[in-house]
Amino acid sequence: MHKLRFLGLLLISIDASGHGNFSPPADPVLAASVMAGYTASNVESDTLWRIPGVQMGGETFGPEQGFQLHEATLGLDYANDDNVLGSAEISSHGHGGSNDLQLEQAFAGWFLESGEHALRLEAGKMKALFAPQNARHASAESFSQKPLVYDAFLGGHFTDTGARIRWQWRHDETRQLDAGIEVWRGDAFPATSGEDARNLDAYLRYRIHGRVWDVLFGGWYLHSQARNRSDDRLTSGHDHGGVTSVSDDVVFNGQTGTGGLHGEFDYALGPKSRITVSAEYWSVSSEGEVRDTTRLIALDGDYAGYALQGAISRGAHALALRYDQLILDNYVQGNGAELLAADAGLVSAESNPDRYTVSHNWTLAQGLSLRTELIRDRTTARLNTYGSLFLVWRQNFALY
Amino acid sequence: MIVLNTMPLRSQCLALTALFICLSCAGLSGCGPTGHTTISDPSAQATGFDWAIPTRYPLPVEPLDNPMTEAKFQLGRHLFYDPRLSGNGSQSCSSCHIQALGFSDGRTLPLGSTGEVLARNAQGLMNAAYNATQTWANPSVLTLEQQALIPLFSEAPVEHGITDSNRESVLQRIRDEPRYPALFSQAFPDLGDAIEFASIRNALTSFVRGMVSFNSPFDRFEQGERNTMSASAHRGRQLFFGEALECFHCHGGYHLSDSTRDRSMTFVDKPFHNTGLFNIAGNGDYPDDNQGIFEISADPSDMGKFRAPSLRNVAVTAPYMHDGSMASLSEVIDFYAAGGRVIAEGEHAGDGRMNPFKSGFVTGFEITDGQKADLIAFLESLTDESFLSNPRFSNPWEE
Repeated sequence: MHKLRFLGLLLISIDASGHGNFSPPADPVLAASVMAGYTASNVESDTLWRIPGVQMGGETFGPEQGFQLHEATLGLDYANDDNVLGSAEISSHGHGGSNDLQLEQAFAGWFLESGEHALRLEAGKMKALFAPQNARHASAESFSQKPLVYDAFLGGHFTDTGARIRWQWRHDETRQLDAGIEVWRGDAFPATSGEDARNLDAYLRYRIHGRVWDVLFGGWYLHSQARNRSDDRLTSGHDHGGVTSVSDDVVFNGQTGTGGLHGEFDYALGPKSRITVSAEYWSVSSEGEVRDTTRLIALDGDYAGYALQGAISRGAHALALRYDQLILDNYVQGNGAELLAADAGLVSAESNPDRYTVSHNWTLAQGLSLRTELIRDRTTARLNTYGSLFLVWRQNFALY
Repeated sequence: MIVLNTMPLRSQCLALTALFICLSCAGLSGCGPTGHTTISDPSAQATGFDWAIPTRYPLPVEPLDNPMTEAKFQLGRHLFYDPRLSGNGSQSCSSCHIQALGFSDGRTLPLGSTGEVLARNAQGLMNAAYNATQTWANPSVLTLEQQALIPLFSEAPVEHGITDSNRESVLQRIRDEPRYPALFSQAFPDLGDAIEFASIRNALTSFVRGMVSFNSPFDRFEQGERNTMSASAHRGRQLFFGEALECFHCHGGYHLSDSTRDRSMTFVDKPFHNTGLFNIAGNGDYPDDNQGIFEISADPSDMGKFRAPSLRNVAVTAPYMHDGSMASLSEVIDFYAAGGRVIAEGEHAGDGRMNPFKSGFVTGFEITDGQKADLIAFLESLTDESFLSNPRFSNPWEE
């Protein structure tokens, strides 16, 4: 008979196997999180967040004034003695005054460990693992929002239906290599559902553990193909209240190549103190055509973005700072290029979109913390400075 | 298990400070070049003509075989106002297209040079260069060059009344006018004897194509001037562009018509709509002499479909509808509010609201007297007074 047991003190990773750890848990693990709070924002209401210079999509939304349930998740990871594993997660994210419950992940797989090598095969609806922060929840991170590159180039986060193979080579106690290939149906931004849609990625990571430090670096590449992709953030099964609709007849046909490099360095300053610095750099090439009912133009977009992040923690307090920037170059050609580029949101701003975020996390009790954030956002033509206060609860439970 | 070194608190503070300084400097320095959007649309502004319209609007399409020039525009202006360009010398284009009336004629139905009554109301000509099709109901008349031949040479009904038997005498009248040889040679310097109907047509269409303006109170509001429209017109604007009344679906965009073509477009739609004016005998029919694009296509579902005209200057272009059957904007609003027209008796009796070919946008709506007044105020804000009195478009023979 299974019992629900609180395992707050156990060293079960916050991100269980379904979220990126290689070895599945010995016992079924139930992970739950709730993150709710208040955002004091001067962002105009009834507008959709559009970063000038890039076609956005997926499920990325700007800050919204007021109280909101930012995140609520419930996930289960399971593995048995026959090396079969399974994972499922449901979540709710608040946008536009509504919270819609959705199945975030549901997949099954098989794993094998032999000496220095380990292998996992998984299939189903999954969060992709190629981008290091894609599978992580805001409640488990220092910041409530992912870096800008995720919002601009990945629709906030990447979840699709597909299959992947993961391989890990553990050289010795201190070094390990992770690699994976993921093949997707193509439902997720920057691809589209239907004919000719495609998402395919591969990644490679190397981790070195020191006595008081830990280094991780890696790279990845995602190839996506879209057919008649529109910015359907307002119409794809979400109810976003009174948000003003954007031009929904602008579509993109073409392919997008996205590559990234990332690194992370973690250093223990003392028994209860650590410092962590990380960086991500993304390069995106988007090539194809943009059209509406009357116009057709060719698009050659070369984009880049990076996020620099640092955090220091001491005892119950952690202070983190992040700087994000995007560099958005577009070349558009054709009749009405100026008008259609404007409608499609492809006209870059005079300065690069960027954002500063300062965050303070105060651990009130095991699994419960108070997060304060200050954000200076220049991702649109208007400078937005706003703050948020969140109560974050996150726990793992072992079921056995 | 990691064995931790202990760093002094002072060193930890220094590390934190250094970290934040590094990140802040990285941000403040704006690492990397600034992104830029390069736009290549060579044809967008390529013209030899001063269109004199705000840059936010796309330019009209200029035919490759009749590019716009000021000389052709001026010659066309003279021809437009010249009654000698008709079989009996009594009718010019301006007979049915009067500048003060937005180049409409104020009549229910216009009269040809021989007194014959035409079947369709004379349309205003402002910004006709942006029309996707050029007549009330002919999907094949795409250009002004095609359209201009119809009033000049049509026989049923007779408009200008130029025929094979009188065309030489008409040309001779033009040749005899002392102003014309210079105007023609300037407009068509490569032609030896330019006074021919082909060049007359090209000049006329250049003038009509050049009749563009975006200077109504509504336009100026859209261009950023905040005090050009009354509060009532603002409310009417909200109604006009709202889903409750549906007006903007057929009369939206900068041209205030869904039948729009400009040089930014790759794909041009050519919509026509049945608005429920008739439903003769309940089978969707329209009067025999005015059946919309059904007359061209013979497709029963095209019965009663006409082009939605631009609403620019609509307040001065009464009467309304393709047959001029509505005298006022108030009457038009009542018609759309009812979702069609009911004709109780007579040969055209029928309930237009139930016309099976009626547009899905004409479904009727409720509107109060105050809202109606607001809507009319908005429609009046579409009047471009400067266009109605601009000497550039006026009769040169009176100068």
